[in-house]
Amino acid sequence: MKKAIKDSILTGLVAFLVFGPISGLVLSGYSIEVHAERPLIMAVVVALGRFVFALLADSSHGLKLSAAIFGRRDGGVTVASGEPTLSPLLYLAVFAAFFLPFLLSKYWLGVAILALIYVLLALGLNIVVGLAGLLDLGFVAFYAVGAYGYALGSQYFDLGFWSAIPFGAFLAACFGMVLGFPVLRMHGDYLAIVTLGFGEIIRLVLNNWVSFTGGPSGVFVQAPTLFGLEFSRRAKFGGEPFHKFFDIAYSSSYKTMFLYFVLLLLVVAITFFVVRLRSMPLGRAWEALREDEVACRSLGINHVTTKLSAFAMGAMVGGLGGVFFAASQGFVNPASFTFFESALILAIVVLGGLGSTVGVIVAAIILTVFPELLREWSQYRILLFGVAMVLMMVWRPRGLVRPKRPFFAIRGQK
Amino acid sequence: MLLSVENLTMKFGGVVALNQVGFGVEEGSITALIGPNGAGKTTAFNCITGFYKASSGRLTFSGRDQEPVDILAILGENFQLGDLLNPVAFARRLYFKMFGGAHRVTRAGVVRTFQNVRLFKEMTVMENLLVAQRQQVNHNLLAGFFKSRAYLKAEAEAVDRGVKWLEFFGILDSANRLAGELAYGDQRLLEIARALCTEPKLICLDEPAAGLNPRETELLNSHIRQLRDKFNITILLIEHDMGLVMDISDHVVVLDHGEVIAAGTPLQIQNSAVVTKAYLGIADDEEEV
Repeated sequence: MKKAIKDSILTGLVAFLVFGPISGLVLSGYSIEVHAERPLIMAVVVALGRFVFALLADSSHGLKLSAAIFGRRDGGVTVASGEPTLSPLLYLAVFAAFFLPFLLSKYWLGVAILALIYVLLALGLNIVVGLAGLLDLGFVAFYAVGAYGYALGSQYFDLGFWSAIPFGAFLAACFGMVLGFPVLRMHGDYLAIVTLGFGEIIRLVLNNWVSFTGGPSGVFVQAPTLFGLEFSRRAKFGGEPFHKFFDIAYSSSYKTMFLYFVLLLLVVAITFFVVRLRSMPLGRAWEALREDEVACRSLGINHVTTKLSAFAMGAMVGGLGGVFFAASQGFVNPASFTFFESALILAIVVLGGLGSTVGVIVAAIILTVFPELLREWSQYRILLFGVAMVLMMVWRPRGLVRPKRPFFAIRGQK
Repeated sequence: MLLSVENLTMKFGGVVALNQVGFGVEEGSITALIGPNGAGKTTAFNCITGFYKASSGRLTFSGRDQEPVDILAILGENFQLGDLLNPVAFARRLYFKMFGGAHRVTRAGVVRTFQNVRLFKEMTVMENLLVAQRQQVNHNLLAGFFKSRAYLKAEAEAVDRGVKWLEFFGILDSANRLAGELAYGDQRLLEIARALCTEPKLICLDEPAAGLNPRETELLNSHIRQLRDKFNITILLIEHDMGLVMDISDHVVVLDHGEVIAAGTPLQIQNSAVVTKAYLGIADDEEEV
């Protein structure tokens, strides 16, 4: 009680000092009027609030509440129990995802595609940051390389959608290696700065090499086809339109649905691959590299090739995301590949839990779908985003899903 | 001679950390490297295991029944003028420049532990051991992706090998715990177990008994002996615990100020005036003043 009074008086004083100059001094013409009563009222309100808060916080309910909010700092790594953890819920979610296009409008299907693209990007960055521990702030570069690989490929070499998928992935992997070489010796902050620079370089080149990339006005992308069937109303490239072939009415959402299905299949495949990768020697080597590079070298692991493979693999997945981005937009320009995108992808990975595949996927979907749901409050989007970040760091410093280590059954033990 | 060190010199700028150091490690022996603080013991270790590139000298390891390995060559030497005329030598140097390094030394059969334990703390004990078995597991990504029979077999064997070493060190119960959770003494043992999982011929232990209590040191003592007697692994160790050194080593090399000042059996070293002087700094030093 005594402490509560002391606290509230102190807070009131501070509030008076802070509000004093802001609201107590009013400029009128060339002179300043002093309205001391305004900050005084505010200070009293603050002091009273503090007093009530202190009383409540000291009561048993308040203590319970604060314990519930701040007490759960169980962010550490755990070891799996050995029982299979893949819940049927997960299968159900994937199964449901295949029926989504029949339920959603074209707009929301577009959002779903965007969410899946971000899932790909987050999975890619998760390899680099979450598994190999290489902080990459320029991941958007590989996204851009994938997208432009498809766009420029279709413009100059008449590259189709299906050949663009491996081509974009390969191209992005090569760029990953190119970035990997100079930064092999770097760690942490230094690495982050260099990758940040790399991301900007790619964007600036795309912006300024007007004769090749079209500069800020961007490039149009050849629309995707299914076995030569086009999704436009009239065949543009000599093929047959999709709706004519199946003799159904034309709808512009066929293309979106088609992209969604291909993307969903790819995301499922990549997820499966990444999950397997974690328990494979390469994945283990990445994680070991994150934990201690010197120890890795002492155990016969070539840190150079291991790092490069992480960069290449992560970039490859990011590049795939880029290809689908280009296909779904039908047009790419450098404005889509700013640093903000990199930051968003990194935020997804951190919120989801570094190294946790499920967490990252959930975070990617949440962070792309929620801003669409909250369109009316779009002014507060970044604010909410920041609040969510802070709360996450308080409650779950290791992300949505805690990192879990695999369990090894040992013969003769249960 | 399993490992022979000849004229090993290591300079850091103007500081000569090692000066023309030469000694050998006999196969199946326990060799101890001792000396006062700052004598260059760890530097010598880093040179042998490839973490430093020695300024000059020769390090030859004739481990696995194959031709001797020149440790300095596999770390990636600088190009020389003669390479212009000799494309084979050039290609060799280029290859090791690109893909050489400390990991090559480990693959040749020399493994090390660290003075301050370096475990993968957020991975389980078993994972720590699996990471070390890089050479024994199946690296094929497709085999791993589809879990082919060969891949599963290699993985199971790797786990068994890990179990074998955990059992040897008596920490099998902790196999599925995080490495960082273990007690300090167990962490030290785990680091040695992890190094052994690379199936080395020579293991270099950097102060294995540092921070252990007398009982743990005693246990370590017997483990090291068994490694030599049962598993035919040669041991090179740096140690400050003279009791341990004199007790288990067959051969002792004394370093001081980057030079070998004495080498011989533990008994010879104990009775050597030079060594006593290096450690305690007495006798004729004072007369000169």
